[in-house]
Amino acid sequence: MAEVEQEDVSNEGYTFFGGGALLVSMLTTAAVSLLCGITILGVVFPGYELLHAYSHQEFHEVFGELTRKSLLQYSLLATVALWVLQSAKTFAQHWFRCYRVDDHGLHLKSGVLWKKYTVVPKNRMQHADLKQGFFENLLELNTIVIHTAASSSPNIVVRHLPKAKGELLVRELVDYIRLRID
Amino acid sequence: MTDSPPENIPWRHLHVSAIFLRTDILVVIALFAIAVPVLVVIGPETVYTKYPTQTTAIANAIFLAFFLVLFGAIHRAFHVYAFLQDSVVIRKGLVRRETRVIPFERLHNVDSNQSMPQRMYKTATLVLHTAGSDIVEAKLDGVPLKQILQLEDLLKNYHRAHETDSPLIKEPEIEHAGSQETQDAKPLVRMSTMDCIRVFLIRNQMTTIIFLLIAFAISNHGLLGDWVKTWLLPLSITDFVALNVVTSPIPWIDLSIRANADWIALTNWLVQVVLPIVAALLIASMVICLTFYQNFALLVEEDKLDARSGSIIRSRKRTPLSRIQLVQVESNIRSRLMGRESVRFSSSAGISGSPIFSPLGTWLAPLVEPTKTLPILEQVLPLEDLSSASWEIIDAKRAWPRMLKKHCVYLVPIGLILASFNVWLLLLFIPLVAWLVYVCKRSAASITFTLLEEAISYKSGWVKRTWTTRAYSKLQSIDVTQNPFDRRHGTATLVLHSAHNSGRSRIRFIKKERADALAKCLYDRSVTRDFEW
Repeated sequence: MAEVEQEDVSNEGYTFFGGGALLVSMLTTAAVSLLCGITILGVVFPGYELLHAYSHQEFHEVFGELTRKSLLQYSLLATVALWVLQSAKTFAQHWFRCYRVDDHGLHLKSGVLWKKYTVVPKNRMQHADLKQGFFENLLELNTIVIHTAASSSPNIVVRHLPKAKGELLVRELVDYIRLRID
Repeated sequence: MTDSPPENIPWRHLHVSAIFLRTDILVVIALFAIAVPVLVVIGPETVYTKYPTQTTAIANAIFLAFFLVLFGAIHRAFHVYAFLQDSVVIRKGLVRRETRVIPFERLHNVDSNQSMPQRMYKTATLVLHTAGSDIVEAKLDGVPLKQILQLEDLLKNYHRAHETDSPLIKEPEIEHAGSQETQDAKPLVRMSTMDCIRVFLIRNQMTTIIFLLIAFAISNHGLLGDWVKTWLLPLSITDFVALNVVTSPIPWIDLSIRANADWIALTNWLVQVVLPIVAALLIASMVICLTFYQNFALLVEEDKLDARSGSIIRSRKRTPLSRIQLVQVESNIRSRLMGRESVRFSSSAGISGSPIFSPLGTWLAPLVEPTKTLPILEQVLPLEDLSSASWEIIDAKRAWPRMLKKHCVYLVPIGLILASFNVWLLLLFIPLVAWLVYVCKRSAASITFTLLEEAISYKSGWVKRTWTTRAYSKLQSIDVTQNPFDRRHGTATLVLHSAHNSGRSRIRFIKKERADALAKCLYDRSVTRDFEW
């Protein structure tokens, strides 16, 4: 079998994402948590009213003295707990997310508990998208989505890069693809 | 893939027979042909009681047939195509008109299937695939064979002019594989009728289920007398109940009284309803399997892999060797007992790996004798050094406990449930756990890989063995993943992505440092080799 050199596993040469990226991630998490909270309320309260109307006595046997106020408190508590947990996860993920672009390809590292190292050669890239969400637009960031021919893998996504850096990276990748095709 | 179409296109219509030979119409007619007699026979007890049964059924059939033919005529009238010098153009739709241009350079596979009625009219169904997935890019039901021949010429000329690999050479008649072998090309694989039956027995998971159902029904129903009950399945649940080994965990349910009546009702239902349905499905599966695999032949001809199969519906799939993404050799206990392995070839649009519509839910992969596997691989992929390769084994001591822990996910709840009935039932777990430990150890020891000059090859599994080989030029991206258990044991999983249609491949339980080194090595080799579709 061919000899294989040992890879340097340190994060040397990798670029970590800045505070803007963290802010966008946290804002997105907050927005998602808020939506989840609204959904919880939208499910819990009609359910409460339906059960209550169906059988008043049986309801009290099962749920005791559960009032609308306490139900609202529990729902809000669940939403806040969800938001706190999601924020902690987002913060930790942001801390470990980094990328490196060398002459031949893109390297990405991510994950806190489930760690992932992805490497994509430039000569396998088919095309690249540059995306900008609402929060990214406010903070002048953007997201790069790189498509390869792999049918099984999700697209390679580099989230929340500074706008100028993202555009430069995409231009570099597209130039490489164009050069290769020519 | 909808580039703007050129002007003055010589549009062609599908053959007139396409009006009533469309697949969906044939399926509806077949269903109706079954449904009408059934409704007529059982009419008095159904909704048909309210109407004159036979007359209504026949009138309905005529009404439906009229509409089907009408829809077929509309479909044909507004479904035109043209074979140009460098592309295929298809325009369809009555209300929403859609024009699709498929350039020849993007055509990956061109399949042609011919059903028996289509053979009468000398037409075929043309299926066009482009790369990236096994989704059909375009399908034309009822294209005259002369025009398919014309498409072949156009494709040949185009690829000759551009010096690229042509995906299709289509003869006017799709003949049986045996009669069509050229003098130069000797088939790599040819499957006999016996092999078709083997495919059915090996791949059909329902076979196992039916055997279990039959055993269960016989043991409880007493079809073969008490000796079966006593000797064949002495541990059936009815016996446990009768012997008072099992006591009910729920006080108000008397299991010993309820169980007998319930089991008798259940077994009656199984024998009278479920077994005939499953048996009918099995027979249908076997017929479909025979239909699809009859006359299967796989040959390499002019640097192209050519797969031919089918008796009633004959199909031929052809793809350049350079477009094969991976080759996978698989075997399970049943296939090993029959002395066969299944070889699956995947291109980015699928060839012998393309899924077929059948209750088998499997793919058209041929069965070969294990001794022939290596020569086939060497002929299809650039693997001169495969036979002399040295295989690297992972650290099995770290891997097998991880594999065993995966089984705990279901063993622990089942154990708790059994213990709630009777603690002594846990003794049943001893042979099971011993077997699982053995299987995990053997499975861990069977994970091996090797880096060849132009490809990576890896094997995994002990009960179900898989041997995958793929060229570096086909690799798209490489992942190294580590879950918390991996980190604790210092291992990682290497995930390889390519453009074939059946997902990623993983090499698990490699040492982290080794996985990183392998990823780096594969990356370097991918960088130096241009991607070939």
